[in-house]
Amino acid sequence: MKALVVDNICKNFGGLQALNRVRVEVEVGQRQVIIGPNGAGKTTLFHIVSGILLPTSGEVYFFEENITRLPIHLRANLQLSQTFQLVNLFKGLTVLENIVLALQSFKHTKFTLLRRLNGFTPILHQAEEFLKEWGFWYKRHTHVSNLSHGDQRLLDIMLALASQPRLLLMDEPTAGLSAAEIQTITSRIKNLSKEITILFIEHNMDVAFDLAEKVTVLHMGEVVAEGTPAEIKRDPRVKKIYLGTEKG
Amino acid sequence: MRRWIGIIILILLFGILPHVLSRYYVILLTKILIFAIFAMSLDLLVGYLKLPSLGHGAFFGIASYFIGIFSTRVGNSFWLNFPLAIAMAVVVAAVFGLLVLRTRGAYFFMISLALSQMLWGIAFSWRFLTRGDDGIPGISRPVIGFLPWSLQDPICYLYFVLFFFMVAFILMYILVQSPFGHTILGIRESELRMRTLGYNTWLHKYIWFIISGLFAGLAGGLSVYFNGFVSPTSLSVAISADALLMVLLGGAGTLIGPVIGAGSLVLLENIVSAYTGRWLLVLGIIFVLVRMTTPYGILGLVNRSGSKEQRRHEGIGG
Repeated sequence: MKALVVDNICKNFGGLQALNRVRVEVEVGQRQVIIGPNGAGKTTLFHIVSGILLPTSGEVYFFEENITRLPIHLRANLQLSQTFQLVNLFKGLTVLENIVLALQSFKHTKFTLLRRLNGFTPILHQAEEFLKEWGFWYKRHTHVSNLSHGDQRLLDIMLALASQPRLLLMDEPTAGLSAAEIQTITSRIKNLSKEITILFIEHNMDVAFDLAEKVTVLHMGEVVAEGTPAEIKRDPRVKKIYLGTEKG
Repeated sequence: MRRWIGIIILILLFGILPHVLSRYYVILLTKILIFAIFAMSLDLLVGYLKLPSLGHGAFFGIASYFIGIFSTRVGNSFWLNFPLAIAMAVVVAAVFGLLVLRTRGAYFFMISLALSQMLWGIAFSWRFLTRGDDGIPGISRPVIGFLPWSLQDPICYLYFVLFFFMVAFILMYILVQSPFGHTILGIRESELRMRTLGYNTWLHKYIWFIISGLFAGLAGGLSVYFNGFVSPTSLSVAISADALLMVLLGGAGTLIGPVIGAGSLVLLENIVSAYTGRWLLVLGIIFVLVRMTTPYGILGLVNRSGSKEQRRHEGIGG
C-alpha cells in the first residue's frame, strides 16, 4: 500500500510554474527523501501535501484517500504530521506546554473551559513520559525561545510525533545544526518506529543518503530521477544538476 | 501563600473602604469595577489572541441598550432583562465573529471598528427605538427580591457590582488556564502550527470571541443600571478606545493588568479633569511614558523583576 501518492501535481504562482506534473509515491513504512537545488519546488510540494497550499491541478492521496482539498487540521486528524523548514513552535510557551498542546489536539478535553489544565493528570503524565523519553524532562519549564536551535529542531519533531502520525513530513530537519546536533537528530530519526512513514527534504547529502531508502530528485519543478541512494549517486543527470557540468 | 494574603487584603479593602470613602469615591470605585470587567473581556482578545479590537463597545453597548429599552418599555425585571441583555451581546458577538475572524492585525482593528460603528449608527438614527442621541433616561436599578438592601444606595450597588466582578474575574482566571485557554495561547503563538497539529483554529477563536463578548455584555448591563441612562456613547468608538487604552496601559495578556488600567484611567480622568479641561493631553503623555518605559504596561513596572513567564500566566505543572 502507498502511504502517499502525489499525482500529477502542478502549481503555478502567477506566471511561475513551481511544480510541473510531479508524481511522487511513498510506500508505507518507507524513509524517502526529496533532494534538489534551491528553488526546485521541494517545500512547495510539501505544502501541497500538508494543505498549506492548494495545487493548481493534480491530486494528493493519503492512504488511498483523496485529500487534495482537505483543510490542514483535518489532514492532521488523519495522522499526517509535519515539521517546518523554519522551526515553528509556540515560542512564548514552555516545553511542557508545547507538548501538551500537541498531545491534546485529538482529545475532546481541548474544549474544556471551566477547569484548570493543571487538574488533567492523564495528559500531564503522558507529556511527562514523552519528555523523559526524549531527554527533555528537565527542560520542561524552559521557554521555547530560550532553547538552543538544536533543541528547538528536536522539539519540532517531538510535536509532530506526539500525534502518532502515519506519515511524517520533515522539511530540512538538520538545517542550521552543528555536526553533533545532526548526529543526535539522525539517530533519533533512525530509531523511529517503522510504522511511521517518513518523507523528508534534505540539503545535507550525507544525512539524506544515510537516512533514506529511496531518493527523489526534484529540479525546476520536475522529478528528474528516483531510486535508491546508490543509484542516485551514480546518476549522471543528478551529477549535472549539482555540479553543473554544462559550462565546465 | 502570596495569593491568600492578596485576597485577605482585598476583602479588608472592600469591607472597610466603601464606608470610609466619600460618596463620590464610592461611585468612582463602582465605575472602575465595571470598566475592569469590560477591559478584562477585551484583553481576552488583545492579550490572549493578539487581536486588537476597536469595536468592543458593540457588546457593551448592545447589552446597555437592551436593558434600557426593555426596562422602560416592557418591564423592569432584573431576572429577565439582565440575562437576556448578556445573551444579546453573545448573539451580536456570534454574528460579528463570523465576519471579523477572517482577518487579523490592522484589518481586524478596522473591521471591528466598522461593525461597532454600524450599531452606533443604528442607535443614533433609529429614534423610535433608541431616542437617538437624546438617549434613554430613567432606567431604574433593579429591585432584587431576596436582598434586604436597595441598590439605589451607592454602597449597595458597589457591592452588587463587586459580586459580578469577582465572579467574572474568577471565571476568566480559570478560562485562561483551562485546556481551551491553552489552545488560545497556542494560536496566539503560531496559528499555522496549531492547524498542522489538528486544531480547527477558527472554531477556537470563534468560541473565544463569543466568550469575550459575553463578559463585555455583563459590563454593559452593570453600566446601564449604574448610570440609569444609555445613549449612543455606550456604543461609540470612544468607549472601545477607552477599554483598549486600559488594557494597554495596565498590561495586556494578564487579567490584573486591565484592572489596574481601568483603575488608573478612571481615576486620572476624574482627578485631572477637576484641574484642567485638557485631561486627554495628560493621559496621552502618561500613556507614551508608560509604553516607553515598559512594554508590558503598568503591571510590567510593578513586576519588573518578574520576567515574561511570571506576567504571562502561571504555567502548568509548576
